[in-house]
Amino acid sequence: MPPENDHNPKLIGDPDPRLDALLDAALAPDAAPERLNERIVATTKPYLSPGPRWYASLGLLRFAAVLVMAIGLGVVLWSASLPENESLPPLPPGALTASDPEQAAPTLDELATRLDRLAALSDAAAEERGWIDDQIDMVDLRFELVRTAEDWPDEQQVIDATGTRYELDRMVDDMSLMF
Amino acid sequence: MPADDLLRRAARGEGAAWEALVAAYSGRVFGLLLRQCGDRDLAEELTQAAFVKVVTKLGDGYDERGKFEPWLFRIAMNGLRDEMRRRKRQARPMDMSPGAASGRGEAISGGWASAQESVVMGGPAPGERPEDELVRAEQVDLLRRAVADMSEADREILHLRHTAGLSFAEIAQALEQPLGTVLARGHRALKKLKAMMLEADPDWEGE
Repeated sequence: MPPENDHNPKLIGDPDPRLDALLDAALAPDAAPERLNERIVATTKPYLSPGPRWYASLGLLRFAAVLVMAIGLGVVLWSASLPENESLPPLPPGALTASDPEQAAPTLDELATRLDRLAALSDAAAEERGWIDDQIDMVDLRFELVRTAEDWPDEQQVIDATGTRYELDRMVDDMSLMF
Repeated sequence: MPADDLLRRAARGEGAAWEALVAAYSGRVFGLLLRQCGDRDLAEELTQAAFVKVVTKLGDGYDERGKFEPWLFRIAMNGLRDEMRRRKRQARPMDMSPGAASGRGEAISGGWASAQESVVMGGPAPGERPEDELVRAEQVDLLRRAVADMSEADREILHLRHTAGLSFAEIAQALEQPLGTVLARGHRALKKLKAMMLEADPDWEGE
């Protein structure tokens, strides 16, 4: 039954108690299913008891906050306790890093000097190689001259006769090891 | 115990208060939803959903003291509307009018037989003759059918008032509409209802 004191005659006209009563009877709610309340309570109970849920959440948050703070404090204290020159772990022996004064990267001048020295060595080697080539050419020439003059088809006979070729070969081999 | 006290105690996690609150309102919420949708299973499902929403809001510290009933019925009605929209999107049209759902005849109004039965079960009112009671039961059945033929907006007002038992002020809060609008709608709904009753039964006398 709706409240009877909220009619507003100006807006809804005169109250009609008989019609109201008939409507109450006609539209009265049907009986709810059996055990509806039990089912609703069973469904909603897990959502109830906000206290323990809140406390549980709060406890977990508090624990997480304390843990984070402890870790942060530990890191700060550990960093503060380190001497300045130990702020980085020691390098393994032979490691090349920019912070190693013994093995610092060469300067451009140093690199230019090294390149010059290499170039000089290269020139010297080229000269040496050229001399060797010349000698070989001469040996070959002499070889051909002797072989032609003596008419020896066997190459070994020429070498044995002159003894030159062997020495030159050994010399060339030695030089090859140098490059 | 007033709903506000129960609400406050339930918000503190008191199971007994919550059970009392459920017991006090579940029947009305279910009745309203059943009148509106005509499907007992759906009405029960939505009733449960409404209380789940309420208890969730209570856990979040929601305070509806002084306007709990409109709030509860608004949740229930919104749940029903959402469900109707969902069904519409899924191309499963469902007539909101009572009687459209399967089994409605038996489930909701019960028709003439039910009206008669309720009269018999309840017994005649003091000073009322049995033949008067039969006439009244017939009128009740006629009214039910007339309400079922009304527009959804009109039915909503009548159901909230006569099924859920809300005052017009509470209906205005539940529907989130100005009180004047709700009063005017209620007045128009009653006028239409009378006209429909007269059309169906020229002997009908509302007054």
